[in-house]
Amino acid sequence: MIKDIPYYASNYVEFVQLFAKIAQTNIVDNKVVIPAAMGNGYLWACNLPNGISLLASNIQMNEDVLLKREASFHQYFILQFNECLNQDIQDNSFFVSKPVKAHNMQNNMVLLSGSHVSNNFFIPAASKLKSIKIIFEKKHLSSFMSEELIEQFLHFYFTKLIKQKTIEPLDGTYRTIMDTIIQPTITQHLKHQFLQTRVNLLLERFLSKNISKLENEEHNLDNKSLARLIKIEALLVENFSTPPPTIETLSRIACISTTKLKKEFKELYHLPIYEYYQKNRLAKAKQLLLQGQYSIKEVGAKVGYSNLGHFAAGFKKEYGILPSDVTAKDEALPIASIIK
Amino acid sequence: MLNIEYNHTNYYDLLAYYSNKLKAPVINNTITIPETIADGYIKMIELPNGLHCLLSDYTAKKQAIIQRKKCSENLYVLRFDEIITKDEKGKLHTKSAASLTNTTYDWIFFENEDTKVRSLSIIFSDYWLQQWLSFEQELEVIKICLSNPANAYNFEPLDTEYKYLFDLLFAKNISPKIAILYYQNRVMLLMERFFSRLYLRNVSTTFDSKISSYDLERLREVEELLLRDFANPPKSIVELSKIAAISSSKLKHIFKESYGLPIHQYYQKHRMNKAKAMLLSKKYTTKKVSEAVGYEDVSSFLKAFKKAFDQHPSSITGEAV
Repeated sequence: MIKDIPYYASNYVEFVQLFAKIAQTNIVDNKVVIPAAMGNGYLWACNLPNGISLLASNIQMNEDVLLKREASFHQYFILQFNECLNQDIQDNSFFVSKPVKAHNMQNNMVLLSGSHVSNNFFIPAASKLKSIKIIFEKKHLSSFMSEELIEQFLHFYFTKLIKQKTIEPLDGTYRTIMDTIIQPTITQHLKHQFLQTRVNLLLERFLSKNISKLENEEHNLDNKSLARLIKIEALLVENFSTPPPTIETLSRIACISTTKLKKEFKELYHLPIYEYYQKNRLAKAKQLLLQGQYSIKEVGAKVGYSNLGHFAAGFKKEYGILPSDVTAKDEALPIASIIK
Repeated sequence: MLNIEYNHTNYYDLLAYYSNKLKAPVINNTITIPETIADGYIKMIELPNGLHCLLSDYTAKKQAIIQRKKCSENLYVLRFDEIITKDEKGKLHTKSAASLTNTTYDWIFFENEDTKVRSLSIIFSDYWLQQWLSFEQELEVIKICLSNPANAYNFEPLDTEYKYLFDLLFAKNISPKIAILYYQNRVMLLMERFFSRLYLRNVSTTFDSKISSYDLERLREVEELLLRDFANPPKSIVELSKIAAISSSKLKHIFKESYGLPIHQYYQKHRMNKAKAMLLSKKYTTKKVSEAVGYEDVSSFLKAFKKAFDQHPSSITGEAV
């Protein structure tokens, strides 16, 4: 059975209120914890300056849910990032069981939509789903893009989307930013500023990717290949501390030949499979080093290097500096030279 | 020697002043510094959120003094500076700082030939700051901190994370079409970090402590002595105060200020942590652990353990109770 949740909301604080009513539960700080009868996880919303609204969720539902967003006369955009943590790729349920004309939330994807068309989102039962949705108005784009570029971009994005039904896969850069937002509670200081800048970082990444596509040629993959590749990519970067699955294993999971997998992967992610893996694990290593909580040895182990020499060499090849350079401390510029 | 002296609070005016002084045109809000003076640029960036920034990246070809003279208009300037100099042996020395200053104070900076300078200045009013932080619960603390004249210069060296964010401002491949959003995001990440840390410095008790370095050294000895051996009863506060040559009331006071807990509670916390670590290693029985942390009878140990962690040691060891 599918549970339908129709909604109309121009900001996510309202949506959380509606959701709380359906779930018959309380809201604390614009946050709802999903009652055990329905599933588990949480969702919270935050309204930010300049008409921006943010919804973050990390949920697992007991039954299939269909979110139906109704069309609105109030003009705004919705940018969303979805990541599903079930890797049951052999099960092709996401091709068959979902209602027609609904976006499947099981895809790891980035999607921009306009408020004037209705949209359905299907959340299959038992899937662990992390998601971020951002509402923003066109005037927000005008503050940093020329009108001409906005029109060019919107035209390109929506004609491409409608005609070819292309989905943009999530990648490591998106995930890094998403992970900072999807937490049960934001513990960072200056919370609104923190969220505002993370929203703008996601928007920046989304826009710069799509604007560069405007100029460069796009891939020619159909949706079935895309869904397959998105799952393979997620498997590949899921856990860096253990050796990655071999290309043979991946090709078996995807039910295509290794040659075809290699070719399609490169077409979508612009790198051969292992170079992509390597780039992502070193990016993860750099992020961990910058956090300053782990030693170089620990970071090496976390991204699957038992030999520190290999880690240092790999890191240097990617970034031109050694891991120890990342953690090195500068001398303080003496305060006497700054003040009189 | 080049002498630059200004008191502009508007960065468009300042850029025009630099242009005049360096005899170089402003193109796209950027001045390419003439080769005889330095190799690099000065760039003005106006962000959609109302901040004005000055970004410079150059290697000086001759000595210069740059002075900002105080003026009556009160604006904040948050600066990030990185200076790389070469010594006689050709070795590079990097110095850096993040500092929040105010236009009602003077600011001066010298640079030598071959000094490599990268700098970001962000200028904003008190009104802007209050609007920016109007939703944040940290605003009140930050306001109090900034109103204290003793805090006219809030200063800290650039650590790894600052350096990472700072470096991104000087990237070569910034896509020009949405460069403004790129700059705004990086500038806001720096602002966020600076003001979060400013807030933390002012609420944390261990920071800005009035304890002298001499007393801190004694405290470290006391702490080390206290935690050295859990198998035997700890030294009393009177004994510790004699060893440290600090009165027992002062010792109690400064110990708590530095380590966040009264002496005995601190001892007990570490004692229980050691017990838990031993149990987790699965190499010792509960009885062995209770002896190692100085309990004569196991039942008192069990009680203390339960109090500290709200769990029974058997839930770790799997032993039958």
